[in-house]
Amino acid sequence: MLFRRRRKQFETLVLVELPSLYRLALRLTGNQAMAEDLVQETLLRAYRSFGQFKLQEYGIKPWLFKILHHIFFNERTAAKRHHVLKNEPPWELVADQHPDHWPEIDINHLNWDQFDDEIKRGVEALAPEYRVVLLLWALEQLNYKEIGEICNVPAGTVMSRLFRARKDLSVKLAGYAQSHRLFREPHTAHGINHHPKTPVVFPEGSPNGL
Amino acid sequence: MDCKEFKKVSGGYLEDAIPSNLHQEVQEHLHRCPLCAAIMLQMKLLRERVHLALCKDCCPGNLRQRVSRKLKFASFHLWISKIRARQKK
Repeated sequence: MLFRRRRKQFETLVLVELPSLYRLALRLTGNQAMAEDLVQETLLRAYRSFGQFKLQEYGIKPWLFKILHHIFFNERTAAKRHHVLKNEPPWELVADQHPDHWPEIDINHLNWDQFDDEIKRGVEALAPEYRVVLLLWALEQLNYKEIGEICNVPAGTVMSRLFRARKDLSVKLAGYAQSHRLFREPHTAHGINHHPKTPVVFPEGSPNGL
Repeated sequence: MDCKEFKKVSGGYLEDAIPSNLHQEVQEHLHRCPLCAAIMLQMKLLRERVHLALCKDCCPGNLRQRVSRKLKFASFHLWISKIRARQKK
């Protein structure tokens, strides 16, 4: 009876988080079957360690993400991990490379479904370490501290990885806009063109609340 | 605050994770600098757009049942192993 009660309690807490776990797993693995395996493995591990879990203000989701992250990065992909992050530059250096001239997209001629597909492709093209940080930040709307705890890295590392992920994704989206001739003519700030181009901006009033 | 300093704290500003005096400085800079204001807007909108593009991924309908079944099985195994541990004692 004790085991059944514990399992029911666990199921009540975790099954509501299943869609979030699956979305993250799907974008990390890029494959539905592998995503399902990853989610199931995550929940089985979580269940076995459930006795050690203490429900705090953030709920159970960050803990589940941490387990999923651990399985994906430390076990499943150990053999074929990319080594692109061996010499990761410190955040202060990365911040100096902040891109400051991307053109503005003409959203009146933008096909949002195609654009969203391009976003998906752009996210999948990121290195896994960058991708997971971007997914936790944008898809799950977590803050740097929570992301750092899940990925087991300092906040500065989260910031630099996120910066790089945003930059790579923006460049990809800018490439898409360019190939579809969606750029507007650069406009000037205060009548003086200080910068040759302004950043890619999706103005307010675009579909889905943007 | 200049553009270079803004770039270093822009992420923290977006997360509301910087001290209030720095927050105020960033806001003043954003009022003065249209380019940094556009960068900040882009960061916010990129986050929203990625969210909207990816949150449409649906969890397979039967995954919940499969997870429940596996948990039931795992629970049974835990129960058995506990009984065996008691018997050994």
